[in-house]
Amino acid sequence: MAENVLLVDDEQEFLDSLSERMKTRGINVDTSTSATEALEMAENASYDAIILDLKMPGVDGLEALKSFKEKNPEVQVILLTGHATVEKGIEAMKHGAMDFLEKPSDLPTLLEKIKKAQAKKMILVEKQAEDKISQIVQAKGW
Amino acid sequence: MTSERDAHAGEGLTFFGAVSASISHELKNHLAIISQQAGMLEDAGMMAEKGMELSPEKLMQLGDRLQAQVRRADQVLKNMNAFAHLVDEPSRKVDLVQSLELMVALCVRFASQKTVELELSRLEQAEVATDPFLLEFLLFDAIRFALDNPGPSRRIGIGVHAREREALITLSGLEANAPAPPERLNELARALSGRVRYGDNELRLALDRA
Repeated sequence: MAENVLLVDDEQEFLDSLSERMKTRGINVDTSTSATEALEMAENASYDAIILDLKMPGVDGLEALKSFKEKNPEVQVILLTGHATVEKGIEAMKHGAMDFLEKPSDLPTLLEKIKKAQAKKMILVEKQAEDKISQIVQAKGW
Repeated sequence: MTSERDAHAGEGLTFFGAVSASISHELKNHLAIISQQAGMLEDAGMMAEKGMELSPEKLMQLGDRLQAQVRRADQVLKNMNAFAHLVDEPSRKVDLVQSLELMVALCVRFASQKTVELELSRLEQAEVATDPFLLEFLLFDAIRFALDNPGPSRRIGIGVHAREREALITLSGLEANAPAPPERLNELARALSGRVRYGDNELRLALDRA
């Protein structure tokens, strides 16, 4: 099943190049240069993975990550940073990031993370469905 | 080192580190773009191996885009080189317009983070004999103060005005109720035989030309 990905970075050229390469590999890709716009897009579409630049104009990347997770707990966010440190990585994971990569990141690594993101999201969605069914069954006393 | 540089050694290192880190982030972004564009060339090669037709026009466009990124990265390195050479001499004649252009270029990323625009305008040629490193430190602090206190337009206009005895650097478009500039700004200006004035939504740095 084709993955649905949202790329968020303030560099348009980066978005154009990466999205084109992903699309030729059968991935459905949306892009945004604004974290605020991306949050709206994530509310209206179902993404398997959001690839988010940690440093974007006007918005702290970790705050944006928190907002994405609040609106869609099952969405998987992969953070991209120019300087990855252990401390930043731990902070990112605490805020709910699925992974944390340093730029420039090669495409095979990103694709592998996106596949994992899709699998992880499917497990979470299935679990939610099971929990709902279980609640209904209990409520009806079946 | 001069006594003025000594007095600001610790803070000067922090300034140097902040600008260097910002430059490294910019370069990482350019490398990330170049990496993906090079990947597009690899993809084109792989598709050609599978028998798909290569578009010469597309390849040429890709080549142009790569060159454009290389030029952007090269400009960042030129700025980094000019910044690094500020410490070569404790005193020399400095072109204020060039100094401002360098510091504005180095602060573009900081401005972008704050969603504020820096606009160079009304630039009159003016030279002062001064410490180039401390001057850029002063300009950096002044620009950071302006970025922390932008007016509603979120556009800071920066100018150089040549007077007979002094050169005036102005940063306009600041918030009406901004706090007073930090004491370090005054200290740096004094170290450079200058003065800081603030009012009417504008920060003014006056430097003696004698």
